[in-house]
Amino acid sequence: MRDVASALARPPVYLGIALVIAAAFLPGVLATKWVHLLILTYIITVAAISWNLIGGFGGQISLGNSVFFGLTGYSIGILMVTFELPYIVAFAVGMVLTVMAALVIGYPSFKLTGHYFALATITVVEGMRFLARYFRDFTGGERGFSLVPATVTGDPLLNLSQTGHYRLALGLLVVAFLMSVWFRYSKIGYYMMAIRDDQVAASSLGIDVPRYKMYTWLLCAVLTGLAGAMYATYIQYLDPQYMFSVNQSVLYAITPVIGGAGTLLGPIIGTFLVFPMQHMAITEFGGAYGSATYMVYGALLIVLIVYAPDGVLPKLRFIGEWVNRHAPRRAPAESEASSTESPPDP
Amino acid sequence: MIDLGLWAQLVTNGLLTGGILALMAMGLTLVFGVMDIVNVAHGTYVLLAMYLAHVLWAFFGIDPFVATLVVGPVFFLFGVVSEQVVIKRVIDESIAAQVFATLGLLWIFQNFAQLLFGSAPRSAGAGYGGISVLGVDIQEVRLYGFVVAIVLTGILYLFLYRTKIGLAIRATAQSPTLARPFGVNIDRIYTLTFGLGIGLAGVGGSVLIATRSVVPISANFLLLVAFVIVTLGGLGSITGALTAGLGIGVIDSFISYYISPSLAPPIYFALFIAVLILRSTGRGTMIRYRINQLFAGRTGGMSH
Repeated sequence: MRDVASALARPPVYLGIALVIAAAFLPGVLATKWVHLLILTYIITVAAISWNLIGGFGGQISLGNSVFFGLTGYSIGILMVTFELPYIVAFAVGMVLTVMAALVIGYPSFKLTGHYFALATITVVEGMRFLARYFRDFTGGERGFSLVPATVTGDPLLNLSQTGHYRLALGLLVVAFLMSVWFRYSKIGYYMMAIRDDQVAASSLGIDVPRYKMYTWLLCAVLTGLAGAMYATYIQYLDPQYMFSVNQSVLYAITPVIGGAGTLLGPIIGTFLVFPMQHMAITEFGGAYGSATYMVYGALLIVLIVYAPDGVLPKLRFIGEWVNRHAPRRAPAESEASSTESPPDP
Repeated sequence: MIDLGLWAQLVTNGLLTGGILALMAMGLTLVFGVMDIVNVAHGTYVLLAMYLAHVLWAFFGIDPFVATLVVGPVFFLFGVVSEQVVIKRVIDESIAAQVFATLGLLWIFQNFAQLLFGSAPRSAGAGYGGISVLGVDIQEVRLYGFVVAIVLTGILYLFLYRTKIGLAIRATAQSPTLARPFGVNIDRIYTLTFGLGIGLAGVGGSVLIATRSVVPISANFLLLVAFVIVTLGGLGSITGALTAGLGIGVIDSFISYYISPSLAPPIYFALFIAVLILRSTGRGTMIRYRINQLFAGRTGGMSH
């Protein structure tokens, strides 16, 4: 109990909770368009956070996370519309399929290192896109797949109001973030960081490298799958070009890198820097401006890689320091004690 | 029952397409083999070359094959500039840095194409006919593309194995640290290699546009096919890339005809991953050893 109290007394924690509570009431203030944008941003952020587990903390550059996103989305769509199963069953089957896909992809792929791993995962996404086109009887092929028939039959999750979907997505984001905090300070997290820094050394110290890579990969797959499920639940239209998209896969990887790979806040900052602006440019000014913003992000990415490989987050550290200095906290003696006990800020 | 005429047709189509794909992949194998850098943007270089050849055809009426004479050198310079601006700065960095820096290039190039040309397919159908050899129909345009691919492979091979610069490039590929004390200017070799690789991508792109249309999203597929060919052919091997390209072409042709065109890529992607894994675990070598043993057993008496 005292641990919880002292953890809550730290400014980043209670300010974060306040921020989430405030965010939960945003749909009452904002126009529908902005709420829509925020929901999409939250979904991408969840995918970015889960990439950060395997790519940021684990150093395994996966460019194939779209597979999990698309697989869960399509499972929910097909099982609910074609087979008329309830949401919870469709969701559970989708998750099981995602975990199985992660095992099937991960088991051989983790024998590869470095760029070969990236190449193997990226081909899986492109292969899945072609498969979704081939099995057009199930997936609707190029025309896409609509979940609207399932809405008509009255599923509560699909028939939620936009505010409901917004809070669901926000909740998912919070869950994903808490998972990544747990991961960061768990045994697996420390093992993965050791593997990232030097796989041979980690292995020689007795870390079972393939096993912990696989655990992390499964966690990453489940979280990305949740993002895909959220997307299918909210948008209710599945397009193979988007669900199994190499570009989306790349986006999930690039946003944490821009924000700061291997940090807790990096994926969130990266996604909020990149995604809303680009999405707005497309919807407000048309595709051409979206392309222009993507070009700017490409250049930004190169500049970051060359001059600040740790991402944007370290440049923003002064904000955290300012908050820590000025935000109210408990009595100095106790907060001193708690800050030495608790791990350093991410 | 095997229909020989049909099979001859399928194999011919496959070989001709495969040759052109190999041409596109050759630049990648050169860069990959010599500089040990994964150029994720290779597909977008090919993409831009396709668009440039399209522009030359649409606005100046230049035939795509003639355009290779313009696009090739332009892309050589383009490659040299890219190397100086971006690649040089990440060549000694981690693999993650290399992948993400070239992903940045990919975003810039692909969206540049999207900005200029939109999503409508572009092509340069220069109006070639077909010829028939022994009952097999051959599209002239694919035949010419194939010839360009073979000739360029020959030239590149001679360049790498018969010239002094080629020797320096091969030495750098084997060991930069050992090549340096023998007087090889590694930085210049890297610049030259990247320029050559992108120049080949340029030629490949302008030949490719004669046979198929292009949209900005094509770059992803082009990149992956190039990587599959490069990996199957063996890193840095020019002739390997050619044979792997021909093989992929034939596989694609058969699966497209007998099952569905959209099932061909998943199958050779699976093949690609299988080969990667066999190679990385050493099982490929073991299988080859077993096969050799098998043959040695069978022809045991003859070999001595």
